[in-house]
Amino acid sequence: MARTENKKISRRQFFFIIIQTQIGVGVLSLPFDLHQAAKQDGWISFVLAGLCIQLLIVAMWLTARQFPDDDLISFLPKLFGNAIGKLLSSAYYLYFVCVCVLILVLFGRMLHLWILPNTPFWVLAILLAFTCLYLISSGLLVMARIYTFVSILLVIIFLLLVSALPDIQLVYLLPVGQTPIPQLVKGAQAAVLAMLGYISFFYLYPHTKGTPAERLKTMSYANLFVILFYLFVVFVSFTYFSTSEITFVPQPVLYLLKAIELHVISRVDLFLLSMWIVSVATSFSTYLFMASKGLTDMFHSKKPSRFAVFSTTLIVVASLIVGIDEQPIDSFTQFVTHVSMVFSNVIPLFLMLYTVSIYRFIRRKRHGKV
Amino acid sequence: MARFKLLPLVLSLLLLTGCWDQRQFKNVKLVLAAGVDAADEGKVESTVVITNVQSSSEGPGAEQTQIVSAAGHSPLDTRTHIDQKISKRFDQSKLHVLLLGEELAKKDIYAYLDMFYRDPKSNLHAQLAVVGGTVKDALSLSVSGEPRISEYITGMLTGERRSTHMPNTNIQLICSELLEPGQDFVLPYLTVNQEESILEYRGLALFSGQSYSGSYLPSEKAVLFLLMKGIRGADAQMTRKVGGDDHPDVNDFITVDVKEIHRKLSFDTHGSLPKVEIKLKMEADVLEYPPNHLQSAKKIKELEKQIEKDLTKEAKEILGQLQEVNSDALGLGRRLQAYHPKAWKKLNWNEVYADIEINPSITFEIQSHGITN
Repeated sequence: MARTENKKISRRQFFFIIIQTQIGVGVLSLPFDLHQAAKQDGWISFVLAGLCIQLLIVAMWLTARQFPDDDLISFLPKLFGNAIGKLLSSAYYLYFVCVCVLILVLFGRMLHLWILPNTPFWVLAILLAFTCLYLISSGLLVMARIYTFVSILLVIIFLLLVSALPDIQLVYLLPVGQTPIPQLVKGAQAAVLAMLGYISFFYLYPHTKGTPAERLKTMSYANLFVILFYLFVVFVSFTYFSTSEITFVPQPVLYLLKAIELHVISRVDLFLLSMWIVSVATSFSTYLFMASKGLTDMFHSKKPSRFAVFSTTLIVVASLIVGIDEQPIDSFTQFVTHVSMVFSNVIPLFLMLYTVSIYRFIRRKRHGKV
Repeated sequence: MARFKLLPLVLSLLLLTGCWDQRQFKNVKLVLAAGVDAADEGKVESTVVITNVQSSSEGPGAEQTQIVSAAGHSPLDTRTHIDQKISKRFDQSKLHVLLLGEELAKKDIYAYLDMFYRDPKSNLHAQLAVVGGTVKDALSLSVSGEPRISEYITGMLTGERRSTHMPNTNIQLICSELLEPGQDFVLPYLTVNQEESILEYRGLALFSGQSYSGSYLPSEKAVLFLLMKGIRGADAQMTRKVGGDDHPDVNDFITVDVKEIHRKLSFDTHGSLPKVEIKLKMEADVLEYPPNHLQSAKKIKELEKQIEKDLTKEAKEILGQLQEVNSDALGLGRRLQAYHPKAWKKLNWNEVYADIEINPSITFEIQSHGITN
């Protein structure tokens, strides 16, 4: 018991894993996506999305606390029996692989556009994927330490954005509340995509120290942090670019730093890009970890590294098939957005309803008989 | 086994260098100052100043500049033609100054800036200025004591910005106002003085929509205009006539440095056209006033009143000029949209802007008068 307790991550590490997973590839384009959907009221959409995610977190917590020692892949069979459980687990595996592929192609596309127009995508894909494979093969505890360590970069990103504050015009946020509700909801959808990663709660929960209530509290703080961080990014982008200009710049965060010159760094955008790569790598690693851990557990194997290598190769090959041309990436993003709605929102909600009603009832009955 | 452990290390040394995206200094010619002029038949003529560094065996290499221009259908087309005239190719990613010829600026300038916005390598914090006459003349000047024309112009513009004669502008910063309806912008206006072989800062070129309106705000009025816009550099010095008769004398003038400004814009949207009220409160230090007697509160009140009257009159003139050339450089339209979205929707701002009533009222306060009375 003492040994497993030692292998568990602390609540602080839990916090950093969550924020590093949630803040990822989407941070550079989030303000643009929000603006596309809801104009200058995009930030309202974003807050809306943040609140919905908080509700989802509570829902996931209600499910997870019924299974103090199991993560998603091992409690699904307990809930629905072996056949359906295995089916759902496989579906989740494919979902995580899809998200990994999406992260990889968006990453490749961004680097291709901004700094490495001549470097072939397969080089970038392999570099990122296999570095992350190396990271996850050391286990959750090492990952947690790395994630905690690299969170200092978020502070630097924040400070870089602060340097843009003298040039903002607050009037671009006004008038408030001119966007009709359907568009706000559409904006919220875009925001949820940028904040994906809360599903990792199911994987981290059993491996984190602390009482259930403490862990929920940490998770909520992490979510709050992510909301505030993104909100700041959105605020700076919305006020730096005018309402009509932002429709021309798909990566507003990078673009606004491109126009800033610090004393030591002439091209701040490239500096930010290199830190952003770390954020992408952490998100990618978490998904890769969830995918390969799921696969290992499904086969009850003692050799996790094989499954990790298999998953990474699968992801790299799939991402090469998708490629980094605009059209396929857009359709693939659409696809992953829809799939995510199901796997990150609908199913966790359903699991919660099922757990607190039917499953509790069945278990009580089963215990009663024994 | 140990041998195999070294293998990845050696491999990474070979593979992680990244051979695809190198841009080496030796392969390009750096351009620090460039400009575009309008040419015949709708073409554009670009001029670039290329800095060549001659390497020498000891000490820093000597710098030589080369000025090349070529005409073409678009800015990037001219680039091809310029490359055909120079050795290697030129690279604008370190551009410091971009000048726009007066005639060219009268067209839609977005078309000429598009290549900068689109290219990830371009330097968006390059300074922009409009040149009366042609850019070619301006960049061909050899200014004594200033070996680099790019440094000369940026230095000049920085100075004007610090003394509140122009706002902070660069290619990126004007983009918001270029594209946003209900907001126009200004750019510094320079002219070429061939006799003395220098450039002169003349004032602020007023833009209407995306093109230069053809009129500029003289530099004496630029300070008050920027203060009305809520912008203040390191200092904001103004010299105004107080008292005296028709034969002005140095004793009739006061020079003040505006230290603090509070601006309040309000819109009255009850009528068919909105009325705008600009309230500007200034607090200033007296820098120069030869007649003295600034210890008396009465005298100070008197001076304040006089300056207030003078500045309000000047503000009206500035606003008149802005309305005349249909340049909403104060961004009143965007503010109307922000605070009164309903009224904004009913109006076609571009058409009504020239006719709306704008009332400036300025309150002026002297807060200190240096170390003498």
